[in-house]
Amino acid sequence: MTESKLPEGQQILAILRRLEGVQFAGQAFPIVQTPGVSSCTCQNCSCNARIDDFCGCHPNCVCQGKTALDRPEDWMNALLGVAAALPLEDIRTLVGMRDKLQEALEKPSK
Amino acid sequence: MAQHHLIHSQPFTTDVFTIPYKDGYILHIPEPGLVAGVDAHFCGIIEDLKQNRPIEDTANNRELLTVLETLQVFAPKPVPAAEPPAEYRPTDVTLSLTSRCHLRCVYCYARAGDKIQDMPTEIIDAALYFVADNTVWHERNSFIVGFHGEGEPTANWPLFRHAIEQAKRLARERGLEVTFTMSSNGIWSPAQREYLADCFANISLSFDGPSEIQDAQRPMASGAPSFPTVFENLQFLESKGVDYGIRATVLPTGLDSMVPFLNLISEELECNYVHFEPVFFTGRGIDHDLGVASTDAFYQGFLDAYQKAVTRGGELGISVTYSGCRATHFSTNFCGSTGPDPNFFVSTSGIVSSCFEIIDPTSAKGQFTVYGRYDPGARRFVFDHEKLEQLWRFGVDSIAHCKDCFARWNCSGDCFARSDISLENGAIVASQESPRCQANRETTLQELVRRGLVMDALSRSDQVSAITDE
Repeated sequence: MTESKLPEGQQILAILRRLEGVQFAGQAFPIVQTPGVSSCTCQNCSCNARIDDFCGCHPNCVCQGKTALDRPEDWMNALLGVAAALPLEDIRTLVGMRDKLQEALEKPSK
Repeated sequence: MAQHHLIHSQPFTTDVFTIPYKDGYILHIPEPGLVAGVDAHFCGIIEDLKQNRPIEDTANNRELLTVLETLQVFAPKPVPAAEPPAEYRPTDVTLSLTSRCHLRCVYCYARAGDKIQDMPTEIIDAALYFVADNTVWHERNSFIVGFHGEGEPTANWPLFRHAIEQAKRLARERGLEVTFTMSSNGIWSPAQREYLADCFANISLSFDGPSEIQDAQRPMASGAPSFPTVFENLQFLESKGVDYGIRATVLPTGLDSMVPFLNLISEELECNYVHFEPVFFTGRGIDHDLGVASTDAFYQGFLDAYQKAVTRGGELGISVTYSGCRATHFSTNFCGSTGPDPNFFVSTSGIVSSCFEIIDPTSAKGQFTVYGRYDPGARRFVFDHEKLEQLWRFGVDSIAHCKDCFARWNCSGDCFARSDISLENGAIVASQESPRCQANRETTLQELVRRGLVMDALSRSDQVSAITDE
């Protein structure tokens, strides 16, 4: 299997979301970014990097982000559960759905 | 009227898809896994860029080009290796120990239990020595032994124990760790389940639904119900902390039972992962009338029922999946049946195939997936390196009907055994969409949208947190 990532992830997504005609934008892979906490659980390099770069020593990182990709946090799953239970009726209501997801995020469920 | 200048961009070097979605479009760039909801005007700009047509020189379009450049959609792609490795040295093996089975599932692809064949211990030992020694050769510290195939792995219990104990011994002697995986029917005695709980950290259980479904589709060989035994054994695994996932095969009669099954699991078990799979029409699935009047209608029914199950699973905290719904994958190959790292699957008679289901070397697909055998004279496995190279070169880009599909890097050409492709001398001579393709696309798109939305919400929340922290 090949895994992939968004280069300069969050910054580029933020720019994309600002563009005219874009309702939402995100990454499909189960990557979780927890501020101040390393998402790369292999810890072979002890770099404590954030997930967007997998780790600071990439490409020397042993797990190449795979560990983090395979282990999304519980609350990510809970949020996906909320998403699954909401109707994906039309593209405009997706924005309302995103807002509901943000509300759910503010109330940690697990 | 103000006239805008035009911008000429480079051609895309990676797939960029715009998919009509209700009253808008989904922008999907598989390689970085990007999913965005966009309007018709934005979609038009993307289509212009795809066709290498110039776009208006506006601030918005310049920012869009910056985003696309950062996403590397114009960047040259690395050239893949031209040749496969000279030596084939797998470190994982999947053993098909026996064709025996306690059950007579009405759709069994292997017709397990009809004819009895067990793997000789000589072949088991040779396979285990091979992967253990390869692990040392690769300077790795662990190898995997899986059990799957023509029957229930535990049905010949002495043989099963021999394989487990032999693998443990070889690992111990070499200072390695061994991990065991298994697909099982869950029919174990109290003594057997104790042993399994000691050896396995995770087991995939075939369990089709509430008792009326399970007992009709997966009866014991005697015709007796299997539900009570399987259910009790699942509860036992939970008591021992063994992780397990449920794989449920869905027949037309079971479409309405998917949600009730999730309710039952939520009420009685701790399982949070259920894989629903529409029945495959192979083996006993051809012999029996499974109530499928039209394959297309069955898949549409499955699609509707699956979406309801995903919704109910979301409410219950159960992750619901289907093999064709693979929003989180980006790969050239569906599984190890094809591609650069083929499965090392050994059948009861010592045939080596990359696919657990295709072990007849004379069948059209078997001529492709069967790449070796155990040689009793030499007491070792021998491989056809030409076939290994064919497998190595095979990816979704070899399949013509996948060329324009937005899900092609997710579904990766779908299950090789199920795909509607014809092969001659290792090359595809014809291919067309199978009834699964529509189900794969629809389920993958829904999952992509959900994940895109969730990640969008998470990212915005992180931004809020960052501002608050400052």
